[in-house]
Amino acid sequence: MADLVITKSFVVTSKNGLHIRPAEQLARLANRFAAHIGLIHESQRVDAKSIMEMLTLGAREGACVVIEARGSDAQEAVDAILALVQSEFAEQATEATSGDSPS
Amino acid sequence: MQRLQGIAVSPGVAIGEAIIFGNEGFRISRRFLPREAVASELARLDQAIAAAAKEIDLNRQRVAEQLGDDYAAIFSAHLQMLQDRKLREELEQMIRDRHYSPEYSVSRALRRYAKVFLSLEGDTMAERANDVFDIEKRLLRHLLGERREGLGELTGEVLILAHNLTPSETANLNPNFVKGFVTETGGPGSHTAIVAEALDIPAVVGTGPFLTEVSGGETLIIDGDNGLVILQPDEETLARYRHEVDEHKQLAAKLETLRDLPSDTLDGQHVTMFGNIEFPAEVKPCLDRGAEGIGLYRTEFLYLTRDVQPSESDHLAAYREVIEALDGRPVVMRTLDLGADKIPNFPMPDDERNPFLGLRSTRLALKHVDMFRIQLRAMLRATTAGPIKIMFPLITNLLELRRAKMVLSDAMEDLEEEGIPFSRDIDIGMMVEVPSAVVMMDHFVQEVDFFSIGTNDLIQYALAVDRSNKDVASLYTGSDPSILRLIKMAIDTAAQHDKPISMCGQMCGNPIYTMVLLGLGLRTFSVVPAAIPEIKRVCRSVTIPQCEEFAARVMSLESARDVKTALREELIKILPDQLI
Repeated sequence: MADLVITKSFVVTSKNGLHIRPAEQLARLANRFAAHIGLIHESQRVDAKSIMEMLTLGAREGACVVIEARGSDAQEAVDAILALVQSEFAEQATEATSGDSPS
Repeated sequence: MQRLQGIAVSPGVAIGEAIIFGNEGFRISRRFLPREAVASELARLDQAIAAAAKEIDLNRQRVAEQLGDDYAAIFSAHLQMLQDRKLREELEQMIRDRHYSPEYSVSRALRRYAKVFLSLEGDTMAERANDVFDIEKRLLRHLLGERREGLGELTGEVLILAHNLTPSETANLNPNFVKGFVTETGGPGSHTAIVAEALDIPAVVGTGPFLTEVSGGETLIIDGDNGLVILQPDEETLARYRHEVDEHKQLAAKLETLRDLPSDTLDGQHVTMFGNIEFPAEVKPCLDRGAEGIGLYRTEFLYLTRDVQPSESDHLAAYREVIEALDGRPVVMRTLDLGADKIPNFPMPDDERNPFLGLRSTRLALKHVDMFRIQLRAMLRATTAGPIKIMFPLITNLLELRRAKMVLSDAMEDLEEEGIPFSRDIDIGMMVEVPSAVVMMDHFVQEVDFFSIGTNDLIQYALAVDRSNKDVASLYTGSDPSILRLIKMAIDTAAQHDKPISMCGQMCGNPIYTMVLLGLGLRTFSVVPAAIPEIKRVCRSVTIPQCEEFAARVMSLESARDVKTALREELIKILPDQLI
């Protein structure tokens, strides 16, 4: 019954930080999962499904961001997000994950 | 409560809800919703979000096709922001729990985000703020519908607060809903002032910056008699002004009964009432109030409401519209009376440090004869449609008048050569509004068929007062004895030579002056339509000998203050319910 909680962290590598484009991709991706997904940076926690909130993080290049997902598909969600981050937010990465995302 | 002092340009009192027409478009009223409206307002919000999303998606597709996906990415982001679930939750909470209107909620929520983005380091974040403003605008446009697009689309009674209003904005507004104007900039001659007067709604201009102090939807008071704007009025002030509004209404109802009665004095002397207009559509309100024709048709709007100079056919179309609406009644068309700064695509004079003493009006027309000729040709061609008269403004000396008449004769010859029909039998007149013209009246009577006294400029030039300068504006008054003497000189000289003379300035539209003007011999008044019934009522309540006697007494007074007091007292004696 206990929800699965997955916590991972990543370093923002894109030059302009977690700016509008990566944030958009990240939010779009996060919304495909049932899990609650939070991003934590410098003691601020935001909802990864909200681009508006993510933008208020102001996470710049080199910032360390923690992902915390809670829910049945938490593992898949975290994996997909890390894959997107590692691909340096290549558009393809987003498209690729869409195939294996449960609704 | 906060009071702002501006310049009073159109009298009356208006109490109502503010709508702010800033440079960025409407700002939003902080209106509270009734509980039962919450559900429907939420539905309205969702419709607006859906409509905005559709719009953004279309943009995205179009840009993607034309420029590629990279460029379209920003629209994907906008879409994501617009449909952000947190944002939606926040908006719903504001509407449901705090009963804010969707417009106010959208504005508040998005502006809060914009503020956070602006506070974050890095240029890209500041740009995000612009993205948020863009989304805000888009949503508001859908929420407000067409209302945001222009003043013409208003659906309820409002008082318009603006930094400045362009002539086309004022021309497009729906007079049924606009109950007053306040602009931060502008002076007595500004377009807003003229339009407000024509619409008979109170207006105050030149208040200085205040739009940040007020939110749309707030109740405020415009006191057009005293040039006051009262923000967040307290109950006592509201009550006092409401009483004043009631008095105005009662007077208006009384005046309404005079509508079809002639403007004859008690001893049977007829006083001709003409209307002043700027737009062809104003002819009807003039006739509705009993005007016998148009004593001043300001043709400037043709130049003010477009980006290019009007063509001959533009002029002609407007003139014909006026003539047709008048159905055989006379109209005096005044030629171009503008400064170079108001004419589209026009070179600015080099040394215009004193625009009112500079290249304007007929002086400007004579310097740019080609442009002048276009207007004169159109006026001449309009003579086939009905009885018109042509009047030249700001004539300062005889040579100027002769040159203007010469351009008119040339235009006649040209038309004749081209075989274009027009009537040569046309009265030519001039404005008497520069003191030199008053002094030289005995010469001018030989040169024109009629005169019209323009008091606004006459006062400003004779008293050397810029009435848009708050520090000296109080010196500007028609009650100054020197002004009454100039008017008397003009009327007397015209009468000696049997030349018709009328008055078309604001002075003759103010009932306080009616008796003295009648006493000085004025028999033709040309006023804004709204003033016709009031002036008529004074005429119908006095006799000419009574006015002559009163005028003689007034002419012996030595200061503007004494004159004003005498005028007030006399008017109240005759019409105790007159509001001054």
